[in-house]
Amino acid sequence: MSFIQKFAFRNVGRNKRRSILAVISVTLSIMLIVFLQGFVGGFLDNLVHNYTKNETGHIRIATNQFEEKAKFNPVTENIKDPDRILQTISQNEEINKNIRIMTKRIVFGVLLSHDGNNKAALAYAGDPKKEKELLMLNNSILPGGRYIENENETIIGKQLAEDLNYELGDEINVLTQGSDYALHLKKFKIVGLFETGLGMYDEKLFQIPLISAQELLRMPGETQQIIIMLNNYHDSDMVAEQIDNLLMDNEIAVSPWSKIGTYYFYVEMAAQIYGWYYIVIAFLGAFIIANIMMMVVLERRKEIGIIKSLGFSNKQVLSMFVFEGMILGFIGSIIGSLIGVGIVTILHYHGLDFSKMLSSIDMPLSSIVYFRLNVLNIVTAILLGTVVSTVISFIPSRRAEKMKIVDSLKSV
Amino acid sequence: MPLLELINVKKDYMKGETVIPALRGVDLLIEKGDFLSIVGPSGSGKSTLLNIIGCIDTPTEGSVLYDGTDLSELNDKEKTRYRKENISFIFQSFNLIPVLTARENVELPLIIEKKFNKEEIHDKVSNIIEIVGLEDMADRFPRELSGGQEQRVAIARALVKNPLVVLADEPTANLDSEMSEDIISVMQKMNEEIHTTFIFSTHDPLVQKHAERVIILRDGLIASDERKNHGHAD
Repeated sequence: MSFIQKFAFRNVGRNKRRSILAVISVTLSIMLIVFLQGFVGGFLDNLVHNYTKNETGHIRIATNQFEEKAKFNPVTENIKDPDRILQTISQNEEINKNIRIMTKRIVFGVLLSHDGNNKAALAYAGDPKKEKELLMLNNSILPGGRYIENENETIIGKQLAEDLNYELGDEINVLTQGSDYALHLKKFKIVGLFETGLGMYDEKLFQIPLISAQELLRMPGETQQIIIMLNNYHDSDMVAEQIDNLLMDNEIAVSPWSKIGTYYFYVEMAAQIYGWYYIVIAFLGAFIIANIMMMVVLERRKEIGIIKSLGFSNKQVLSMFVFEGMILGFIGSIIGSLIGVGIVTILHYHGLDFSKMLSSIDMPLSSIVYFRLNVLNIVTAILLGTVVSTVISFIPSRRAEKMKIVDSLKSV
Repeated sequence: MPLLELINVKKDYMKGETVIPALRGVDLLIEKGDFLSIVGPSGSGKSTLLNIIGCIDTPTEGSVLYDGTDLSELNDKEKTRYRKENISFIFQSFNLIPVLTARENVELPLIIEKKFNKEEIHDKVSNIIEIVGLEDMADRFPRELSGGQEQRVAIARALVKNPLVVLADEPTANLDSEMSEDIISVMQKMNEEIHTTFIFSTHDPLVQKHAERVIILRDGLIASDERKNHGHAD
């Protein structure tokens, strides 16, 4: 340890009460940052998780024509031989090792009518077994009902059922335009009502088996989309490119979730906005350090004069005070991070229930947000607290640097 | 060439709108190895003169030449180097660093100088601490020392790096006569053996007695400059 560092450490311990106050201010701000990082990260993970599993997958394979009209969920722009694609991908070990689930899905809009009530709804058709791991509506089935086991069965959102006066055991008539542009009708028996707590699903969605949808829409063996879930969604760009290169099909679009819709844009924007919030919070915490350092500099005017008269350069005086600020910031950041990590760890495993707040929001969010526990975030928070404290200490330290020796020595 | 040459040095202080002259035009030659005492009533300009020689204050007018170099032409960095390499101060109010022990305070100039390794620093510091009689107090902090002990630490700190010039403002003010004699004899020995130049600002008759040259300042001007062994310098 250099002499300046030793000197700075001693000075930090000189007025313990004041140093503790400075440390507490940084501790609180870093604790808040770690908490917010955990919450925002958890919130975004929740959004990405639900958005990808319910809507786009981490990677979606569809025809180019479908992608152009994707927001209308057309059933006329289908993949003709999805099984060949699934087999080609499965046989490639390098790609396959990253894949958790790969399944076909058809989503289409219908107008449901019952007892004189009409309501626009969205049909999700997939392999019921695989959708247990994607849509996971089986987890939200209300007592008395069950999940889809056979063809021509459906589970329906509780609110949708209430709006149309459907009850468990009723049959719903689905009348829609098929891939042949003709209207077709099919009956589905309601075997379960589900309640996810998310308005956008409970009010609009019903799930049916893929094979029944293919029959209804006159698209046997075809699918609208292939949904791929990866072990790590951060790999989606890379794996999408690998699949695209593997398939070499000009008719087929392989899109990572980040390139579909606007959610990714919002996720990125939210991350950036919160990044700026964190810096502002860190500056607020370190502001106390700046004030305390200013007091310290004025108090130690005489000492500054002494060390300068002994041959300390202005730069060394500056370094000494800046280092003091850095020590205070570092200690505060470490303590703040430890407390913050403690809170985030609890909420990472137990989650925080936002069901009342989120039920009215039209976003794919689960009601319980599990905080993100990320080592990089913690390191960032410690660095942020330390760097901001160091930077802000420059202001009072510059004052010490500029002091004239003779004036300093005259002060009491 | 004299070690220090002061040419028509004037220093004014401002108190509100009023100009207060501290030095009114001092001409002075100081040779290497001088052991001189500046005496005079309070406000006569003694401390100001030491501060200007030590380059911690600047004259309003006139020049100070050190070894032929005009100190007013030095930038901040060069002034710092000048102080670090040539000058040591002994302040009337000790001016020790409270968070450093007596030993660490004495080590400070050697650490700043960066010329010596740890072992050399340890030896030099132990030697000077022994000379000022503070072996048992070396690891104590200034708050644990008496006024006299603090002054001895300040003296040890000033002498440890064998500076070319020692500027001492009332160095014996807090010492008993026996300790004052001891300290003065250490300084005299350094002066004789390695020709360290000592410039005292003092009221202490003991220091004046040992000084080879006594300058009397009055109202910012040199009233007399007496060299004991060699007669008058001017």
